[in-house]
Amino acid sequence: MNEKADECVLKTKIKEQSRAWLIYLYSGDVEQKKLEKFKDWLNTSELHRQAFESSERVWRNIGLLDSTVDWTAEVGDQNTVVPINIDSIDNATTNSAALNNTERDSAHSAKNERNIWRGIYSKGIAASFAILVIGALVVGGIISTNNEAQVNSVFYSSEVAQNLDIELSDGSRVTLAGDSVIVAKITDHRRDIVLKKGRAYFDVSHDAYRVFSVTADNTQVRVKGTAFDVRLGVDNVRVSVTQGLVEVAGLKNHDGMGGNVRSLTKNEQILAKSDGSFIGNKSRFNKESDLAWLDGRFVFDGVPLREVIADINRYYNKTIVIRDTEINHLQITTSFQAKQIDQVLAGLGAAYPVMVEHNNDQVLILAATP
Amino acid sequence: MNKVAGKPSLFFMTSLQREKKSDKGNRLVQSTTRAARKSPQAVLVESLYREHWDELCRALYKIYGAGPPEPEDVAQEAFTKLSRLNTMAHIENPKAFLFKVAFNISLKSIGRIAKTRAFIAEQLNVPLADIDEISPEKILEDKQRIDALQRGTEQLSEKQREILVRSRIKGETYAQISAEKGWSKADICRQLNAALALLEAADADVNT
Repeated sequence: MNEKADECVLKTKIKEQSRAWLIYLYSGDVEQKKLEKFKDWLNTSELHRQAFESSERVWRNIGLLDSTVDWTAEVGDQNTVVPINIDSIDNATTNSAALNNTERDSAHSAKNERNIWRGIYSKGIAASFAILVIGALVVGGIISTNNEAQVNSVFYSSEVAQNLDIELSDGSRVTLAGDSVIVAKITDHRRDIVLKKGRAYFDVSHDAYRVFSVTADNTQVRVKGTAFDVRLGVDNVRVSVTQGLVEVAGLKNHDGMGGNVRSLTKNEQILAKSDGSFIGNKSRFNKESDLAWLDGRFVFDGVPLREVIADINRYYNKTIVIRDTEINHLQITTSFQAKQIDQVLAGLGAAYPVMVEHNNDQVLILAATP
Repeated sequence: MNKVAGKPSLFFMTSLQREKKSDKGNRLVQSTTRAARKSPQAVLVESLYREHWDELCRALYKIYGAGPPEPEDVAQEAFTKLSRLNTMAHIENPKAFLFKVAFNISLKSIGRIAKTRAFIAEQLNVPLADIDEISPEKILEDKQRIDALQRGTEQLSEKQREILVRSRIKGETYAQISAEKGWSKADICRQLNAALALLEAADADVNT
């Protein structure tokens, strides 16, 4: 047992050294003395040689990947404005000492500003997008030039209380829930969508040669052609599949290896945390209730108040804020149409131990005083 | 080559199309024979040329600059190479293959890169062509590895991808990347290390 462990540790160490040498050789800054050291290291043993051959092969094969061709085209131009960087703002902010007024105000004013901003269609024709700077938010879009070789990201956002139907350049159809944002990057080899905010339903056109991926926080869905819903919640991501086979992966950026991957089929759903780790196992869901938002309806059966409010906020012009954290997890059962939200809020006060207060621009939900 | 007009003449193709003058001058027979002599590879390369010459030149210009070598020369060499291959039947994406070949030609022309590759080939005691050239046969041989690598790249961060593309494909030094992006050289090395570790793991999985 000990021998094997030792051998494993040794191999790992040699691999690390091999990588370091490769990175040094291609750094653009090499010294003769160190090159001699490399030769010594390489010739120390067959293990060293094999490790380096392996590193070199991987380095070489990177130039043979289709995706590398795409990425190279993107990185090329210095003048391209690079992707959007919006913080996913959760409108159902729960108050506590941690959340100060400025954060709430900026979240709220951002919501109003977004009403001014319109989603733009693209039918695979390069178009120009304006870059707007809004308050505490920086909103950017990719500006395309006339250069067809360039890859364009397209930015779509929906207004509050309005679903937005989009057709992507590959024929896939996306429905954005209210107040939601996606960025779509479609190339000859890949179709990549990022759900920046809110929720969207994807009906993906089949293309065996191009993976269609949707990334929300650190969760990534990968398909060739299916239909599914992705919801970016308060601190979680939920993927629900209505058709086909869908691969859902927890991503780990920067240093770690990839996280777990689950396969979902029709009527299956899974929940992940913001960091990409899955919460529990996959479960079944009811399309009628969970995806009722596609028809402008909502059906909640024992759903925590915080999530209900997050969903409602996408369809309500005032920002609804839960002020007392203890009521966040109150289980709510109700169903209604998007235009009935006023009544629903009133109903909450009647049916649950909460109080609902309307200001000029906000609705506060507080724990009811006993 | 007429650069002013944009598209150069297909001089490397004329060997495939050169008319054989028969004594009787029977043009009809000749043209049929000529058509029958055109190999599938020639047809493919011609169509790639027609469809992608402009795009390729633009991409080369954007990525490697005006040169030397000039983008048109690199593109020309890429098409020449392709036309000399026996077949590209197993290549799923001929356009991407064309671009890969062109990028590699540009890369090879960077003195520092050429020297490093030659050094490595010598140390590993393998022919330079193994390290320096792109061939459909190699892609076919390594198909499983390449697919695994492709999957592995999906897990890289944007930063890692950019560093990888800049160093591996554009041939930039870490000092150049640092100057352009503002990242420290140490950070660049770290990211590259992490990216390669991930990709090597994906590659290793193929063997197990």
